[in-house]
Amino acid sequence: MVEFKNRYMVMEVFLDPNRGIRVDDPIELTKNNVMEAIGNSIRVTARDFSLHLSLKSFKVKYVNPITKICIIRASREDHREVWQAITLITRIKDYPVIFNLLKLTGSIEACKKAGQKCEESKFEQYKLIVGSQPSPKAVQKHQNCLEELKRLEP
Amino acid sequence: MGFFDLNIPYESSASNKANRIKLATKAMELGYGGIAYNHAMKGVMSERDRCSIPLLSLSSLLKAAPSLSLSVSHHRDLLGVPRSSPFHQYTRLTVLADSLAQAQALNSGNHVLKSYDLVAVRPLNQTAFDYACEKSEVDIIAIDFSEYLPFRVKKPMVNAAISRGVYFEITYSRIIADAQVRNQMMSNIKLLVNCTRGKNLIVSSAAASVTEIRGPYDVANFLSLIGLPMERAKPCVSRNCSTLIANSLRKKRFYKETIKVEAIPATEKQDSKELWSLDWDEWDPISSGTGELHLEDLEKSLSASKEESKTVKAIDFVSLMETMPSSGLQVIPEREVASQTTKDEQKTSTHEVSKDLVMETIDAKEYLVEADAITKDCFMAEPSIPSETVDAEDNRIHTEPTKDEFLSLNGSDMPVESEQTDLDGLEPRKLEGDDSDALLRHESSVIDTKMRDVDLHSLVDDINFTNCQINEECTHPDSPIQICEESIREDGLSSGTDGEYQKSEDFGNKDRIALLVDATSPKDTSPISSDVPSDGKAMGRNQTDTSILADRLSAVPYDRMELMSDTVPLRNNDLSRDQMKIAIDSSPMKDKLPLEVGLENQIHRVDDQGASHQIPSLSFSAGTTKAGRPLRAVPFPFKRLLGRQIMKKHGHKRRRKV
Repeated sequence: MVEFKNRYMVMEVFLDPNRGIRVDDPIELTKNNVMEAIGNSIRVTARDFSLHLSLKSFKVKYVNPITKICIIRASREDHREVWQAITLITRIKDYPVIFNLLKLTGSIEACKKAGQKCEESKFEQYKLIVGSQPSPKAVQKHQNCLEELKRLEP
Repeated sequence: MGFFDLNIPYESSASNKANRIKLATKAMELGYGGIAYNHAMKGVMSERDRCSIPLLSLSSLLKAAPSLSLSVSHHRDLLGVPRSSPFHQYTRLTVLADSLAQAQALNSGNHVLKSYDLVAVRPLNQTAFDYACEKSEVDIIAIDFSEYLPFRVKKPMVNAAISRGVYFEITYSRIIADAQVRNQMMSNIKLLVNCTRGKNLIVSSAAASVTEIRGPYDVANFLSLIGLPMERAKPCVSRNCSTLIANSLRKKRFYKETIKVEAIPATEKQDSKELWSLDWDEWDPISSGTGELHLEDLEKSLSASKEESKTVKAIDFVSLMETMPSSGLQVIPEREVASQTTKDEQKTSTHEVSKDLVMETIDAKEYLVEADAITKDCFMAEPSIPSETVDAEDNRIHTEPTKDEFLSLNGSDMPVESEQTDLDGLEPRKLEGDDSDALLRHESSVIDTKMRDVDLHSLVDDINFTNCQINEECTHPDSPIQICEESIREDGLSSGTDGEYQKSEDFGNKDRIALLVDATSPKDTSPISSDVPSDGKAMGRNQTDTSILADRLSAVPYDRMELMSDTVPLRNNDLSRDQMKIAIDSSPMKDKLPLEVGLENQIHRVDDQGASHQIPSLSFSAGTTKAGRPLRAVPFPFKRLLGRQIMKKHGHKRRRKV
């Protein structure tokens, strides 16, 4: 019996949803700027000490800048607060964003499985938006991210 | 159970439309199953406020997001919503009421309200709120929590509204947009949530821009933090909304909230013996009848746009159906026609075959123009060409059926066919008739060789059509004797070449011929026109095509019926000649039939079908006659039951019992 339980949220990010169809991104998603945005949001929606309470297990585990899928870990007790804070994020570094939950899982294995499925689907969409063949650099980046996802640990 | 967002702001400006398209696209992408465009209105209501909200078409959504179809199916899978469920669009009116008089204007006699799918009221003071809760004929009471609340939400009032089936609405876009407003809103929202305890509560976005819209689960989570348990929070985005829509549609579109007369969609099932009532299980209570976007259409138009150099086909069913009966060959752009026909064939044949045909039918449009010019020569040259090769000649042969479909669709407008009525113009016509017939058969044989069984089934269906043809033939002014004469003449021209042609073909073609021979067997049952069954077969093929097309466009059945009745008498001549030729062609092939031992079972089956011709034919003709005069008022069906007689009978029984 595990005493400390986590929740893993597979989220997708819509960067600047107002701009229409464009291939290039205004900013690149990284773990740091996602973390910062969520931290700021938690600070606004809740009090400071609740941030520290939830911080004990809160972490951005994985970010794919190509498909814009990220995996966020939070403790089971307050994952709803973290989720709510993520929902209320409107911008990352002054660029409007939408966070949308794709899957909420209780174990890293299930999370990986869901993540891979979402990655596949989102990469298909990415290819469709790019139109022609995606650049080898982007493909390489995507492959690296997939490797990282496979090696993800709780 | 789909998810709904019943508040997408609408204004009649151009910038709003672009924004609305973006919002609708995003909502669809996030997995919502329906949205409502909200027109907010203040002051005295007039005729100008009648619903004029244009629902968006699929093409405009696709322009905003080319990967929409993939994204939608991905999100729907994650949310557990069936992919096939359509995307609904509704219209909604929100009346800002700041006095009792304005609240009282919302009554059941108001015709402006009936033009909208949903009606909401936003009370701006205590009296308006009380009246809205207790008496107003509205579906939703929308409360704007972002501003100072000018009235108190009292529990007895809320309960009164709930017992009347009125829903309360919470909008969340301001919570996301403005961190300052958030704290103030939360306490008021919590008050309402505690009053209703999740009953008759819906949550919608009212998003002014795309950044303020959120996924259904995120919204449910937001409610769960306010104090609702998750199992009550989720219905606020899904089930409550669909119940609300079903109720309000029932109020507005149904007679006495119980009876709705709906046109049965034109499907192939009309001629099969299956019960129509089976379809009724799939009836959608939340369908408003217009503005539904189907994911299949989305995928189709996507693939079509891929193949045909980015011509996005507008899926505007209503306008398409309006243009169809009246417009001819020249009016519809060829590309569109090609795309339509490819889809039809995808339905009739299997997918593998259809993929081949897609390419060929695209070529078909080039031949559409010169279709009339095709003479017997092309047919003569044809047997030397292997049937499977993909060169230009073959293409033409394959694609000919599409031309046939097209003729059958717009039959009344084709100059060639309209000339048909006079007998003098037969000579050139005959040649063309030969052609199309042979080509038609050729096409079918190609399909046969690939998927013989499947095609056999469809042929059996076709034969069902012959029955209706028999009836048509009987009523037709042209006597069958004339047709016979023509056929004899044609016989001389075509039988020799046909023989060669048949030999070069493989099994599938023989199957077909065997079927044709069998189809002619019910001669005995219909002495008036011996040749009719195979005529009907040729005809039947065309009819299925039209019906499928009409079906795909979710046609109003009247349209289809009119269409058929227009085209049928004109084409009879032409087709009967075709048919004659088939019958005569097949006679030399009869010798070969016993050799195909394996096929005999199938032939028998078809024979049985032929024997039972008469019964379905009757039912079908009944259907057409009904469609002929669809608008005649039917006497109230229960009137007889209310008469005196029943009472008398009742009395009898009682007496007997005694």
